[in-house]
Amino acid sequence: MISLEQADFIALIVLVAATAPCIYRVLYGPTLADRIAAEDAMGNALVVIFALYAYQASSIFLMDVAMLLAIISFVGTIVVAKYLDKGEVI
Amino acid sequence: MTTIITKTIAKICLMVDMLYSLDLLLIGGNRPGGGFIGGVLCACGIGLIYVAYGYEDVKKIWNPDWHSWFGYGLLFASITAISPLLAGHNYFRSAFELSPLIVGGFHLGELELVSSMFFDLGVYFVVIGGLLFIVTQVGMDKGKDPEGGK
Repeated sequence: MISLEQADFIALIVLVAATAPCIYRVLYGPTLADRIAAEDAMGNALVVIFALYAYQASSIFLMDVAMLLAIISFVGTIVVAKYLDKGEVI
Repeated sequence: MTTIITKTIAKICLMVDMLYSLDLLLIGGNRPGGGFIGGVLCACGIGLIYVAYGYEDVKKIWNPDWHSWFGYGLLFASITAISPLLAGHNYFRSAFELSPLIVGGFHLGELELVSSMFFDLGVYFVVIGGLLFIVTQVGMDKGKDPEGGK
């Protein structure tokens, strides 16, 4: 039976590994939509990484970082999606 | 104009943005936060409304002069920064006071009053005004792009 800290560490490793294909798709994506979808997925993985590391480091301040990153990454994805759809932002 | 899904999510996200932005503004100084990141978050929420509903439609309901928000915020922060000179202290000196917080006869603790809160408030309005002024000015510039857009 593993402890909660070890499970947290394993989850961190899995999530950091999950960002690697996203980075590949951002760098070599054929179209812009592929890059944006990969960037959104990587942002969500980063939010969970910050939340898990806040538990690992026993620091409540990293939860602020996770919440800010979630909101700003969502806004950025919406803006680029509207640009791809309509050709203008606002 | 966008879909109904984007509009609904934008309205929900605006409430969370405003609440968390005020929280970051008020806890700044003791914990991570402050006027700058609170202003960025507030500008993100209002900019998301601009993106979801369209600038022309939002302008009919609520159209403040964002550049004057920038100017008044800068003036407010500057007055806060130079006001300790009048009392003979250093530039940017911050006053600090603990006052007892009593509500209805119950002593709830101590309320911490700092004068750097006013400087943070000035920075808050500078960031909101500057960012949204840029966003609206760039958004109004509907140039003829030969290969972008429909």
